[in-house]
Amino acid sequence: MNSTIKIYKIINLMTELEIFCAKNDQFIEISEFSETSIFVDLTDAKINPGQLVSISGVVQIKESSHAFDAIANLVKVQTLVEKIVRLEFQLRQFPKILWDDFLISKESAQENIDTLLKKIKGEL
Amino acid sequence: MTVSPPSNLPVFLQESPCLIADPSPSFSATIQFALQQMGIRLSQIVIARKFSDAKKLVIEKKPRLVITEHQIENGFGLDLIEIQDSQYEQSQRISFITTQNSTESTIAEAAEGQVDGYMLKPFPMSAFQKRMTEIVNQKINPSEYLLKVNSGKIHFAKSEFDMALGEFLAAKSLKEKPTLACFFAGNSFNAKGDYLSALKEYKQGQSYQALHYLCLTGEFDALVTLKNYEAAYELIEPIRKNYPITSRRLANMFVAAVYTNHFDDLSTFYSLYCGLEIRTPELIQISSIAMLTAGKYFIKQQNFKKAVEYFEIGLMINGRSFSFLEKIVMEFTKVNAFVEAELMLSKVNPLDIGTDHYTRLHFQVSQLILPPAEMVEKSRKIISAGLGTPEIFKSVVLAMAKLGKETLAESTIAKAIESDPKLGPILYKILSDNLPNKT
Repeated sequence: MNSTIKIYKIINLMTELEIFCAKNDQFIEISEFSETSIFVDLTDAKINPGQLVSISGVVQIKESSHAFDAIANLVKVQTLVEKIVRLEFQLRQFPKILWDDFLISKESAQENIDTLLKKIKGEL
Repeated sequence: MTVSPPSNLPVFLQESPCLIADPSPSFSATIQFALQQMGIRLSQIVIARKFSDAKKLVIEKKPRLVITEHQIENGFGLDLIEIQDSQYEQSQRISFITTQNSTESTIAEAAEGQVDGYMLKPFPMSAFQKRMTEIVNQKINPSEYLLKVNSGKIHFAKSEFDMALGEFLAAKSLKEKPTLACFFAGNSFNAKGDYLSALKEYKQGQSYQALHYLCLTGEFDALVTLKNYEAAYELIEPIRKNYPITSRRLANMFVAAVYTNHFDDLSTFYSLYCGLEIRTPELIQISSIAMLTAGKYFIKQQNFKKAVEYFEIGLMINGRSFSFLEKIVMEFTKVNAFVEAELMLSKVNPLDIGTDHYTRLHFQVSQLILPPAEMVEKSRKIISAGLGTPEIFKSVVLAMAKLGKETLAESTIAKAIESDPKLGPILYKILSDNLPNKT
């Protein structure tokens, strides 16, 4: 099973306003990540960079799910298309071990795919 | 998003467009930015969110770079890549799948479709750019060996099999372990109809690298083509143990198992079938026929329970098609297995109940247990409704003969002759052979 992170709540810690709250289990999946950031695409999000937020979500690593609660800094807001904006959150306080497990799981899944692809194509 | 180092992608693509086929507008926009960072002009990038649009764009714009989701609506990204493959030789194009689907059989399908990159969403954009750069560099600076292989592939695509073979054989001297050249040389021999030489090439490839996927599966496919099912069957286990199974390969495995009477393996293959994301119409047809054959085999063995099991799987595979169900039911009626015939009949698609073909089949089953007089009465109704079939006429004339109803039988035969004159002699013989004074 593919590993991913699903977000169900993002709150602006300064104003205590909800930036996002999942309704009817409509979690959003992160659209991208880097070593210390996650990227989330939202429609009509009204927030400026520099804000501190709390992020609540679930990390799915293979078959197991774990709660993921983090404090992050919104470092970039980028309009992608129509009303969709991409928010880049730099993680500040977060479950480090869980996050590392997620990164390792993604990396090893991709490595397995690359190996399988090369093996089947006869490149290995 | 990280800024990537200068890339050779613009050099590789020149003026050719890039297609991003993905239902997510935000993901498409992200890939678009990533490509722009790699030096691709915005005007070169086309985006499709629907499969039909993507297909139209591949045909019309002939993009040398296709980045696609594995599945868009009911269409598959591999179908887009197949079109792109018909437009460019593999060294001249890049195909990339970005998806959340990590099923091994899907990856194997992608690899057999010569997909260059396969990335699991979500991913860091830097990883995407790095992988793209690796692919481009590999395509821009191929080794002398790969140049020969690619040249052979161009001839092969043009059906110039002798010239292709020449290139592949020449390539074999350019690398210590030329497994790919062996595989493609094998394919060229295959295309020329020289299957034995093809087998030699595939085996040679495996001598350089044991269990080399392409050579191993090439050998398996060639053996199936040669109808050497016993030898093909021997290869199923090593393939299955070491690699995910693709739709096409699984179809051949069903064939090999049936021809070698390894019917007990079919349930294992059915599990593999259930795990496949893509099931081609050919696979659906072959696997359901395999289940039908297995069921017939177990009926012959008097193992009706197992026959029912396999028939049920066959029915599930082909979506409870009535013609398939009819074949199954008739197999049980032939051996007077009423309970099993009725059980299978109960699996009918509810939409078929009440139709003429259902009424006929229902009669065929019930006549196995109805007392002759009742059966005759029921059949008369069926025949007068115009639903008589040769089988129904035969069984009713037989029942009438046994009851000594000669006149009634003759009038039934007259009706049968109206629908098919050839039935006359057959039915008269049944009547004369079975009248009470004759027995």
